[in-house]
Amino acid sequence: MLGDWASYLIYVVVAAAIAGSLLAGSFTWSALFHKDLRQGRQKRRVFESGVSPGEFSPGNFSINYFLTAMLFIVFDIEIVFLYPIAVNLKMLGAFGFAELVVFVAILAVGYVYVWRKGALEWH
Amino acid sequence: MVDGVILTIVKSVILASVLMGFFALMTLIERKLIGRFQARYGPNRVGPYGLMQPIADLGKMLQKENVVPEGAHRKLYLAAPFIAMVCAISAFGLIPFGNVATIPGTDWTIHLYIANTSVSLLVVAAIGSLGFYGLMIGGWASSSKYALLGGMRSIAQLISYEVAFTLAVIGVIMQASSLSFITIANAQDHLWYFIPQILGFLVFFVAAVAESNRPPFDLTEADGEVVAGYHTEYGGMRYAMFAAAEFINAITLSALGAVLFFGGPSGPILPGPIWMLLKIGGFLFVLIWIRATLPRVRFDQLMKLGWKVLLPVATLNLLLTAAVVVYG
Amino acid sequence: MDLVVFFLAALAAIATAVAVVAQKNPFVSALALLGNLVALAVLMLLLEAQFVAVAQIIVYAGAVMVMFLFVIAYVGPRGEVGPGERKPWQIWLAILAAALIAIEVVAVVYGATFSDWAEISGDYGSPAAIGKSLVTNYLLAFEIVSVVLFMGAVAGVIFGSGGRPLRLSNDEVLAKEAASAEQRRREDSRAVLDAARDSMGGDR
Repeated sequence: MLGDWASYLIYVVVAAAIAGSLLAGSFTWSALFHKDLRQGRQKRRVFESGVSPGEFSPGNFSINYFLTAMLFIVFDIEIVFLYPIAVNLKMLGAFGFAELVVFVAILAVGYVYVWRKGALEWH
Repeated sequence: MVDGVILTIVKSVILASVLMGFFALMTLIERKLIGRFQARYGPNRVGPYGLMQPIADLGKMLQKENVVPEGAHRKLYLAAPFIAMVCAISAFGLIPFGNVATIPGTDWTIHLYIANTSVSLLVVAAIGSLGFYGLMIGGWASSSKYALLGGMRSIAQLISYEVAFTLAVIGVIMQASSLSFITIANAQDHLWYFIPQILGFLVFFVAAVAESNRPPFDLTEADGEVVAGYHTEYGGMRYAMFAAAEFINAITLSALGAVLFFGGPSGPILPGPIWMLLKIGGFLFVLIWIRATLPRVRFDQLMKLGWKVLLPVATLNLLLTAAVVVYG
Repeated sequence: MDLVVFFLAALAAIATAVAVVAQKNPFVSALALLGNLVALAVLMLLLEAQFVAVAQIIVYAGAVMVMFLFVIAYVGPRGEVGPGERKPWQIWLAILAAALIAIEVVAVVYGATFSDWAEISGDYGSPAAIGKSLVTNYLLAFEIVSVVLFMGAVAGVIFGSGGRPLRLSNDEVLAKEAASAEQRRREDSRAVLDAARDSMGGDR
C-alpha cells in the first residue's frame, strides 16, 4: 500500500517533467535554429587555458578523499540508527538514554582514534 | 493519499511552479542585493525594476548551442544536470505549507502539503544525497581535469557536511518525537525550537550553507583552483540546470530550517503559505548577506570545520538534548 | 496505482540489475547498481517498510555507492573493459548457483499460499516502531552495531594509510626536508661541474 507515498511519487514525476522540458526545450531550439552552425573540433576541446589538454587521465588521487568517504559511511550508518531511537526517546526514558549514551560513547572512541591518527587532516 | 489523484496532480504542479517562480524571483533579488551591497544598482533594465530579468535569462540560456566536449560520455554528460535538477525539485516536495485549508466560498478542504509521511525528514536527506550524483556524473562524464577535480571536491564537501547536518537535527526529533514535518511544525506552537535548540540550529545553519554550496563554502567553484568545478564543461541550458539545482537546494534547506526551528507555516494574521515563503525568504536573505560579507575559506579549513568542530558540537547537542528530554 | 508502481519499479529493478552485469564501462555499471537500489527502495515502500526504504537510499545509495564511484571514477579505467579470462569452473559455478536460486524460487512460489493484503498495524515500518524494537528485542544487536561501526572506522584508517602513519611527526618532516635539500645541492654542484667541463672542451 503506497498511501501518502503515491502523492509524493506523482510530485517526483512532475519534477522530472519540469527538468526534462528544460532539456528538451534547448534541444528543440538547437534542432530548429542551429543547423547551419559550424561544427569544429576546436569548439569541443575541453578547457585548458587555451593549451592543448593532451591525453585525459584521472591521475593521482588523494587518499583523503577515500578516507572521507569511508568515515562518511560509518557516521551515516550511526546517524540512521540514532533517528529511530531519537523518535522514541521520550517514551523510553532513562533506559533509552543509557542505550544512547553507550552507543555514542563507543563511536566517540572510534572518532578520537581517527582524529589522533590524523585521518581528518587535509594537506 | 491525502487528496484525490487529480487534486494531487494539480497540487504538485502548483507547488513545483511556485518553487520555480520563487527561485526565479530570488535569483533576481540576490543580484539586486549583491549590487546594493557593492554600492551599485544590479539588474534594472529588463522590465520595471528589472523584474523581467529572470525570463530574459531563461530565453538566453535556451538559445545556446548544445556542445558536448571531446571525449565526454555523451549520455551521462547530458543526464547529469537532469539528475541534479530532478533531485533538487523532488527534495522540496514534502515541505508543508500549512495543515488544512478551506477554499473560500465553498466547503471544499484541501491539505496544504503533498504528503505527510513518518519519515519526511529522512526523505529530504535521502533525495538530497541522490542529487550529489548529478555533480559526480557531471564531473566524470566531462572528461576534463578541472571538472573531475571539482566534482571530487564537491562530493567530499557535501558528504562531510551531510554528517553534521543530519546529526544537528536529531535534537529537534527528540523534542518533537517525530520525523513528520507536520508533527514537528505543530509541536512548536508554544516555543520555536531555535531557542531550546540554539546549538543544533547553529550547526544546522553552517552545514546548510555548505550543503547548498553557497559562499563562503563555494569551494567547488573556486575559479582560481578548479575553474568552475564540476560544471566547467557545461554551457547554456545544461549549465543553467546545474545552477538552478544548486539554488533550489538552498531554498529547500531554508524551508527545512523554517520548519524545524522556526515553527514552519505558523504565524499571526497572514496565512500559512505566505509565512512559509517569508521565512524561507528570510533565510535566503541571510545567505545572500553572508555571501556579500565573507571571503571564501580554504579547502582544508572547510574539512576541518566539518569534521573537527561541527561533528563534535552536534554530538554534544544530541546528548544534552537527550538528557533534557529524559530528565528535564 | 499500486500495481502500476509495482510493475514499473520491478521492471526498473530487473533492467538495472541486468545492466550492472552487462555494462562494459565500470562507472556506468556502478550507476546501474545505484538505480537498482532506488528501484528496490520503491518496492519497499509498497511493502510499507518506509523507514527501511529511506535508510536504504541514505546508506547504500547515498554513502556506500559514493565510495564505489569515488574509487572507480578517480583510479579506475575510464573506457570500456573487455572480457577478462573466463575460467571453466567459474562458468559451471555460475550455472550451479543460478540453478539453485531458480529451484529455491520455484519451491517458495509453489509452497506458499497467496492471500489478500496482510493485515498490519498502523505504524508498522515507521521509525517509531523500528526504534521500539531496536532497544527492546534487538538491544544486543543494536549495541554490536556501534562496535562494528567502530571497527569500520579503524579499518578504514588502517587501510587508507597503507600501514604507514598518515601524518609524519615534525622530526620526520625536518629529516626528509634536510635529505632532499642535501640531494638537490649535490645535483646542482654536479651540474655546475659538468657545465664547466663542457665549456672548457677538454679531452676526456
